Parts: sequence; structure tokens; C-alpha cells
Amino acid sequence: MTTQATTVGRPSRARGVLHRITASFLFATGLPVILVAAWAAYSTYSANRFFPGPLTVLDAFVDTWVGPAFLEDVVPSLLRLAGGILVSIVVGVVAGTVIGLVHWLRDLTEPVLEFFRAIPPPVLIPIVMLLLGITDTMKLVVIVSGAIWPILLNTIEGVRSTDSVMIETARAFGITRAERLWFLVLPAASPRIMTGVRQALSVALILMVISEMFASSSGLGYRIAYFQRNYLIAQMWSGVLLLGLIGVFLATVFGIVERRVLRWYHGIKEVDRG
Amino acid sequence: MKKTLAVGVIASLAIVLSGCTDSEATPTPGSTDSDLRPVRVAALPITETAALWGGIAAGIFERHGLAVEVLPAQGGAYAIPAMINGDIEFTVGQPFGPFRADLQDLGVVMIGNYASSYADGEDINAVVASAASGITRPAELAGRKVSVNSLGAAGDVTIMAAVEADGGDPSTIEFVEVPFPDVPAQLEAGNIDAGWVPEPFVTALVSRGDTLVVYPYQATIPGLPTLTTFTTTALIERDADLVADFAAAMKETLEWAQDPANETAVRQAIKDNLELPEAVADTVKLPEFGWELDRASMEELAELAVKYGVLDRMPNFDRLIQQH
Amino acid sequence: MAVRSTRHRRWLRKTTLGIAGLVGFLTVWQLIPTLGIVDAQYLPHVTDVAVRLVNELRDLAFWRRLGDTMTAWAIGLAIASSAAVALGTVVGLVPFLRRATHTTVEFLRPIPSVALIPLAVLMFGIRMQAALVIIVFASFWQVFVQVIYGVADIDAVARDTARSFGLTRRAQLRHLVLPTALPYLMTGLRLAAAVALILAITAEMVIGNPGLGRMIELSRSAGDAVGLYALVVVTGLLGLTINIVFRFIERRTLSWHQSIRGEEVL
Repeated sequence: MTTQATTVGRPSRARGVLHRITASFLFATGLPVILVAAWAAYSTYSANRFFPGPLTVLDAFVDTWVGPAFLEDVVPSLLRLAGGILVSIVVGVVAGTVIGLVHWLRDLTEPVLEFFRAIPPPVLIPIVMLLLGITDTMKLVVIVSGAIWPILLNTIEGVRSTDSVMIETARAFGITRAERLWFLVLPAASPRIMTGVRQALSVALILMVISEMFASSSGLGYRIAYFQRNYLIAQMWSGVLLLGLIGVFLATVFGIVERRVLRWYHGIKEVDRG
Repeated sequence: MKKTLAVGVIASLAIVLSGCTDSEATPTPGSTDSDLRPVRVAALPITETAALWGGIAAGIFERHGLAVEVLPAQGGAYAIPAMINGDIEFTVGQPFGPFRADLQDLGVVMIGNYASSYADGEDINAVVASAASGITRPAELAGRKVSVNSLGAAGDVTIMAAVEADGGDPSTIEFVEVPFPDVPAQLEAGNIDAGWVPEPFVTALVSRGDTLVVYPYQATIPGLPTLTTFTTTALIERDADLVADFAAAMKETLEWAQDPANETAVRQAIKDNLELPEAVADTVKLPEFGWELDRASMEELAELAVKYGVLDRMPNFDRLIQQH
Repeated sequence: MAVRSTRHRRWLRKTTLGIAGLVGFLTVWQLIPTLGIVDAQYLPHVTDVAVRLVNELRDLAFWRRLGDTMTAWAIGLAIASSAAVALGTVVGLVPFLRRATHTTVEFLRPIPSVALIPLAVLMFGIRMQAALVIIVFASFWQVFVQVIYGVADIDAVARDTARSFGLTRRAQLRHLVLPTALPYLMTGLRLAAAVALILAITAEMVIGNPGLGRMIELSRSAGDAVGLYALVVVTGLLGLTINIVFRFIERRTLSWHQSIRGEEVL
């Protein structure tokens, strides 16, 4: 295990920090810049109507999204997305823990759950529409119906793979069931759960878009479908760009949350790595 | 033991296979002539496409040297990119697709009509309001929730025009997008006040007590084309003969379908290609089939669309409409 | 002797419970339209759906469509996983690459592949290849991310030991990277398989290339609720089968790992 040793002639702190920030910035933007340059080159060369250049798309982006459309379409969509993710996490973790711990419950529900999980959410949209109408609840349910599965599955897996030795030891020490759950099982499962949440984020975004493409008259997904239908290609790509940005935003937020929740796990790993 | 098992498996497999059906096995019409040129046509899986199906089954396209494959396109939004790609040759769809494609200079051309609504009498689509909504006339649609299958197309444009003609304010109508088959349920649940539907839903809804409010096409532009046939300028330049032959075959098919003597064949085509109950297939109202494009009506439709802000500007009808 | 009968008993219990769960679900389903909680027009009776399902299974055209969907699924999954394993291993092992690609991956990953459909149709028309673009784009990330996680999770002691023993790159890959990453890879493949199926069917529903998804859309637009539900059941069963197969593979290859081992001991 090495520790930070102070050596003679350490470079000034400010310059070190600046160096680190520059490095981070370059890493973050290096590849994207190369890709965008390649895209610009391709679009000027090929003049394909369905593949406009980055400047055109950027133009369309500012025109379309920076304005009233943001409040009317984007914000409600994001709220639904957030709601769907939260519900998926809560229900997924709770149900997953219960099912993961109780063996016979898992055996009982597994076939039915696996069956439902396999149904493509777009197929459920007409059914959900019948029961809930063309409402926000319907779109929320569609998001949950897809996003819950990675969380549920990973929670079950995480709970199942709690080190048996730890559990036995805890039991031997007389630690109550509730305490075992809260201080042993859940933390042990949390890396897996976080993996599940991360996947649920992408699924939720996809479903937010799909749910608004099929049965909606407003929202980000609807706008993109509308652009598709009307061959407003630059606007459509600007919508895709926006989706990517939202994805980055979600991932960043998730990263911050994950680092906090799994502080202990990362700590152990870091110590391991020396 | 293993031998008996094998025999048993083979025997049961044979029994199972013999009990199998094949819903796609179409009786091969006459010759499998390799001189036939393959043509892919995108068309919506609706009753109106019966004319095309019927024409193929009756061998009309074959006589013109064409082997036609009909793809059940969903909504036509991807039919036009597929045409530009060259994957399909022609599309039968609603006119706003070509309108919008023209506005984007995509090179889409209407080569002929396909189906039109009725200038008088019962029309093929209508706005039906739920009994609970209390709507009886177009003006009352103002401020209410009305569904169309696809926003920004002929549906909402003509409905807005009908409402305005009846004295209501069309800008207050809240249009929502609901696919046709889901409208009855949404009306019943009260999620929408009225819905724009084609047959057979109009009859189904009226017979259960809902109110027929207006025939928007008839009220606005009588005899308005509902579906047209279009292709790309690229195809016309590349293979003008194919386009000419297809146009001739379509013209003949549509005349054949419009002839009352062939109605049974047309309805049979519906039964063969759609999963509709027989009773419905026998009685559903068919549109007016015809090949001649009605430029005046479509220009009027486009003008209304521009007026209500559905289209930014008028398409270039000189290059858009090329009757073949 | 005792071990075998316990395992047998456990398997028996598991299967019985599974079947009980299914039966319970089907009963509830049958009761809902029968009791009128939801109109039978919107939620048909299980019996009607079952009858239609049997009829569908007798129809060769149905099997052809099923074959179309499964072909697209298989090819898409194969392309996505091989690309993801190759790229993921490389990126995961080289910290520079991991940092350099991080923002790009995070940006591209959440983009719903349905948004790419117009491009796919433009490139390939209304054919399976267009669906493949959609399937591969979505499934790739599932495996890619898992492989990177897995490769990054290498036990530091083991890695240092391997290095001090002077193991070649290839040997390192085989004895160090692969075992660590394998559980992650298996999970990734299982998820990718599910995603690939969902997207294969969604692509067919939206684009209209031949397959189960197109049949579903046709039933939907014809208002054929019984047919729709029958097809939904088929897709559910399909997903179930895929899941069982992948679980089986996972079990076989990971028989040494805790999550499987833990079960036997307890």
C-alpha cells in the first residue's frame, strides 16, 4: 500500500489543479470533437437530406428547444420520466428485496414475472390506454412497466448473493432480522442495485419517448415523432441531441448519487487497488 | 426402445403438421412468369386497400407485367424514406405525406388518386361524439377534446373548417391523437368528448348511442381525396416505363373496384387480408375509387392547412402533381 | 443419497410453486372480464385467447413470422455482443480509453434507438436490416457497459500476483480478466437478449418489416383484441424461453460463483 509521499520540489498546487482540470476537459471533449468533425466532413461531402451537418442541427436545436417548447413539452416529459424512475426504484427495491429473501416467494412469482418482463412495453400501451386513458398516469405506468425490471432483477440477484458466511455470522451473533436486512443484506446488494438503477435510467428514457410517440399530443417524444412524420430532419436530429444531453445529465446525477451511496464499496475497492 | 420413441415422435410430428394451416398460401394465379417485374407498394392495412388487393388477386397487375407485393405500412411515415431508399416503389397514403415531403424538397410526386370521400349522402368518416358529452353540432366542438388518428393532417384541418363554418371557434378545440380502434373505448371512458373515425367504427358507435356530429370531409370539401398514390421523381427518371405500366394497372384496378359488379370480389379481398368479422367486411362502406387526381380539392385542403397553421406554406403543386 | 433426494424435492417444490403462481395469475385474468370489472372487449377471457393461440400455432404463416422475428433477434444480438465484448474489453482494460470514451458513451447510450428509425429505414428500407440497426444499437450498450464494469472489477491482489508471475497478456485475459468479467458479461447478455427481443418487436411494429411485431400492429389496427392478446402471450412466452435458456447457460458457466453456490449450501 502506497501513500502520498511528499518529495522535495513539489510543483505548485495551483498548477497541479489546472493540469488536472485541463486533462479532464480534454478527456471529456476529445472524442466528441473528433466525431463531430467527422460528421461535418461527411455531411458536406454527401449532401444526404436525411443527414444534415452539425451546424444545421445546432441551429434547429436553438430554434426548437430554446423557447416555449421547452416548458410545454420538455419539462412535463422530464417530470414524467423522474416520476417513473422513482416509482420503479421504490417498487423495484422493495419487491426485489422481499422476493430475494423469501425463497418460496421467488419460486412462486418467477414464471409470472419473467413472463411480464418479456412483453415489449409498446405492446402494453394499447392495453394500458384502455384502463387509464390518454393521461399522464398511463405514460408513467408504461415507463414503470419497463424500467422496473432491471432494478427488480438486480435487487433479487444482489440479495441472493449476499455472502452466506456473513449471514451465518450475523445470525450467530443474534443480530435481528430487521437489522440484518438494513445493515447487511441491503448494503451488500447495493452495488448490484445501483447497476440495475443505471440500466433502468436508459430504459425509462426510451420508454418515455415511446410512450409519447404512440398515444400523445405533447411531450418530447411526441415532438420527435412529429418531426419524423413531417420530414423536419434537422429538428428531429436536434431532438435526438436533446435526448443525448438529458441522458448525460441523468448519468451525471446518477454518478453523484452512486458515489455517495456506495462510498464504502468504492473505498474498499480503492484500498484493494492500492 | 429408442427406435419406438423415434417412430413415435415422427408419427406425432406428422399428425401435427398435417393439422397445420397456412394462412399465407395464396393460390398462384396462372403462370409463375419470370418476366413479371417485382413491385413493392406500401399501403395501410385498412379496408380501403381492398381495391389494390382485389386488383392483384384478379390478375390485373399481372396482365401489365407486374408482380405486386403490398406492404402493410404503419401510418406511412416510413413509407417515404423507404421510397427514397429505393426499397419500395409506390405508396398509397393520405395526401399530407406528399405535401410535407414536397415542402422539404424530398422529390415525392403524386401520380394518381386512389380513393375519395362522398360528395353527398353517408360519408366514409365522421366525427362522433359520446352521448354524455351532449355535443350535437360542429360548433359545439369548440373548447372540447376531439381525437384524430394523426395530428396535422386532413382530419383536424377539415374538422376545424367545419366548426368554423358552423359558427364555432376552431382554435379552442383541443385535438388529441388516438388511433381509430381505440376511440370507442376512449369515448366510453370519457377521456375524449368526440372522435374522428372511419367506418366501421362510425356505424358501431352510432348504433350504441353516440351522436354523429358531422362529416368533416363532406362539410368542407365534398368529394375530398382520402388516399392518393405517390412515388419519387428518382423512380420516374430511372424507370418511366415501370411507372407508366403501374399507373395503367392502377387505373384499371380502380375502375374495376368501382364497378358494382365486382363488389363481392373487393369484399372478399378484405376478408382475405384483414382480420375483420365477416359481417363487418360485408357491410363496411367503401370509398369512391378513382385514378384521376383532383388538384383543385387538394389545393383547397392545403390552403386550409396553411390558414390553420398546420402547414407552413403551400406545397408546389406544379411539381407535386403529375397525373400518370 | 440424502443429497439427491433433497435436491429433487427442492426442484419439485420450485416447479409446483411456479405452476401455482401461473395458475393463480390465469384465474385472476379470467375472473376480471367474467365479473365485468373490465369489458371483455378490452380484456378478453383467457379461454378465448387460449383458443386463438392454439389456432395460431397451427398456422404455418405464424411460424414464418416468428422465424423472422427470431432471426432478426439472433443476428442483432450476435453482432451487438461480439462488438461489445471486443470493444468493452479493450476500453475497460486501458484506463486512458476509458476516460476518453466516457462522455461519448454516456451521451450515445441513452438515446432511444427508436429515434434512429427514420435513418435506419432510409438506409435499408422496410426490411430486417433496418430493424437490425435498431436492435444492435440498443443491445450493444447493455453488454458493453457490463463488460467495462466487469473488467474494472478485477481483484487488485490477483492482478498484481498475475503481473509478478509474469503472465502473458493472453494468459492474463484468460485467467484473470475473463473469470472476473464473466458474471457481469452473463448478466449483460441476459439483459441484452431481452432488450433485443423487445426492440425486434418494436421495430416491426413501427417500421413494418415482417415479424410478430407487424402482426401485433395489424391486430391492433383491426381492433382484434383477442388476436392482440394471443400475440402478446406469445411474446411473453418467447421472452420467458429466452430467459430460461440464458439462465441455464449462466448457471452452467458460473457454477463456481457465489450467487449460485450460496443456494446449494443454504
